[in-house]
Amino acid sequence: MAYSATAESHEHHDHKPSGLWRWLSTTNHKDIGTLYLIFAGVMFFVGGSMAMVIRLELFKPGMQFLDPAFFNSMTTVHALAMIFGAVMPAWVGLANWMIPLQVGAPDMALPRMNNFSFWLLPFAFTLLLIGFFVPGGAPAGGWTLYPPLVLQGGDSFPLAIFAIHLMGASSIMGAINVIVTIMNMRAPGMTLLRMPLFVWTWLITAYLLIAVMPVLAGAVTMLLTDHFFGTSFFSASGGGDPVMFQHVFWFFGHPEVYILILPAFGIVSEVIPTFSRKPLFGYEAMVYATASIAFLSFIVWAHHMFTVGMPLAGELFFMLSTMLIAIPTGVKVFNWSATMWKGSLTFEPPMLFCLAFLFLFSIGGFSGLMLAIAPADFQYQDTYFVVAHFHYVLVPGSIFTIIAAVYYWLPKWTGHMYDMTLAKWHFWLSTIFVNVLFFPQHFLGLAGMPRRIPDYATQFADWNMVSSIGGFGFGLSQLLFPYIVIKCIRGGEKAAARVWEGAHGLEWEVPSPAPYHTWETAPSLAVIHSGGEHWTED
Amino acid sequence: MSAGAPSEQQRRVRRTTIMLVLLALAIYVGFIVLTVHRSHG
Repeated sequence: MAYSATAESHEHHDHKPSGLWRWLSTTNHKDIGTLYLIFAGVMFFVGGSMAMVIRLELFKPGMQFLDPAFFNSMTTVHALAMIFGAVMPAWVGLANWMIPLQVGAPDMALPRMNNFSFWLLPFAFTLLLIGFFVPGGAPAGGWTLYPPLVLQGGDSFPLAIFAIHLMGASSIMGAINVIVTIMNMRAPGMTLLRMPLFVWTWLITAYLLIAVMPVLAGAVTMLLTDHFFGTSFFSASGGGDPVMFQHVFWFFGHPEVYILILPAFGIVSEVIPTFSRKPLFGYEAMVYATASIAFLSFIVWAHHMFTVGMPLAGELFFMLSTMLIAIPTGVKVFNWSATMWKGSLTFEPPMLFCLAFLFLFSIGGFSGLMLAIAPADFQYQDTYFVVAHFHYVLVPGSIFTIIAAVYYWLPKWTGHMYDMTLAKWHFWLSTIFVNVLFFPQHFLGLAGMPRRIPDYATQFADWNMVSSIGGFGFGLSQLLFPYIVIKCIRGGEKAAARVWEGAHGLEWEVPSPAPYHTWETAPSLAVIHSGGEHWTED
Repeated sequence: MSAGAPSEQQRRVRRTTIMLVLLALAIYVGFIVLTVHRSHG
């Protein structure tokens, strides 16, 4: 058994408010982390049910259930809900819970702003989702909001723009909080190169957020004034340039992809050493690789728009700079593999999800390299190959590692072990069905099936049916996740402070469940060093 | 954080926060200005 349970009881004298007011007014990082994670879970199922509707319509050729405009709304809002509602808040929730614990800080540096940045989110998503009930329906022009199509939207257009502004403000505040906490609140002796990789990847992610969320905000502000105030930033009829929007959007959009994936790299760098019972191979190389990926993410944006027509030198630059990203990413995959090499491996649910990440994210990375080749991209552009690529990156990439993180730290949060057998069922069903769902989409894309269409030629029927079966299987198997988590919250075998025998880090020095207030006195250097064995090779 | 004179850590927290807020605002305004120039320049 790789985890150790204990009957030892911990006397916590934690004073905390109770009832609804506690959750509305809380400034405690653990409470706010929990709120973020619950919100992300709800949005995961909202966005996921939209994906089910999409796969239901695509189960057979011909129009079955939806009208095309509603189908387009489903694809648009599914993306917005998953990106801004599920994955980003899940990472912020994990950051809130774990960063103060991992750096030895009593709380986040700006606790009231922390509360505010969370409570903006329910309002933002209410605005987005009530778009379904206004004339013209919910936004249907794709999450990329390209003009002039998006400017032809119904009454939901300003609601969606305001929602995006609120999400952006929330993200920027969250990022500021993370940076200020890490730069100013670390325990004495917790130098930058002693920080756990999850903290490092989040620090870099937070800088990315501050650099690009204002760019998105600027772009959507200009869309709003084009629509309502007669400006023509992106309207060719008024002298503006719609392609300029695409440049500005993807200057935000590509780093956004790394905002969704860099914290995942941090989780994998925590989990694999724990279940390999070895230090992480090449800690500093991992930090520099993360920083390199973040830097490169700013100079590759136009690979999303090779087909708009740009000078050959531009195509070459963006093609080659995109391919460069494979180098630091390859360093990471090598280091994770080297960490496992000759390790004493066990395969608990967090490790299983991280191993699936390693294989499946690499598949997404390789299809990304194929898409980076500009002349080939002219064939792949706007086909299901692109859909397969980014879902391989984001589902086994971000979603699987969020699940891995929850299974890794859930005993620390609740004080109970969860049902390992059910969690392994969750893993196997998710991994099998995610491949049934997305792998056939490579074939569909290579055969020429366009994305964002509610109907298709009969030649695409078979693989669409397989993909839909995978989609329903994946969606249904996710119901296990809240069941396992709720069951764990309600009770179970008592968890020890150091839940996993190979785990190292300050979060394992506090009891399980983590008391309401932790590290009110900074941990001593001895504790930091003993908890931090994973960053020393000797 | 306690009332009274701010500690060195509080001062550093405020300074970092203000710098990051200004950075975000500068990027927001800068990109709008840049886009206007590129669109209509």
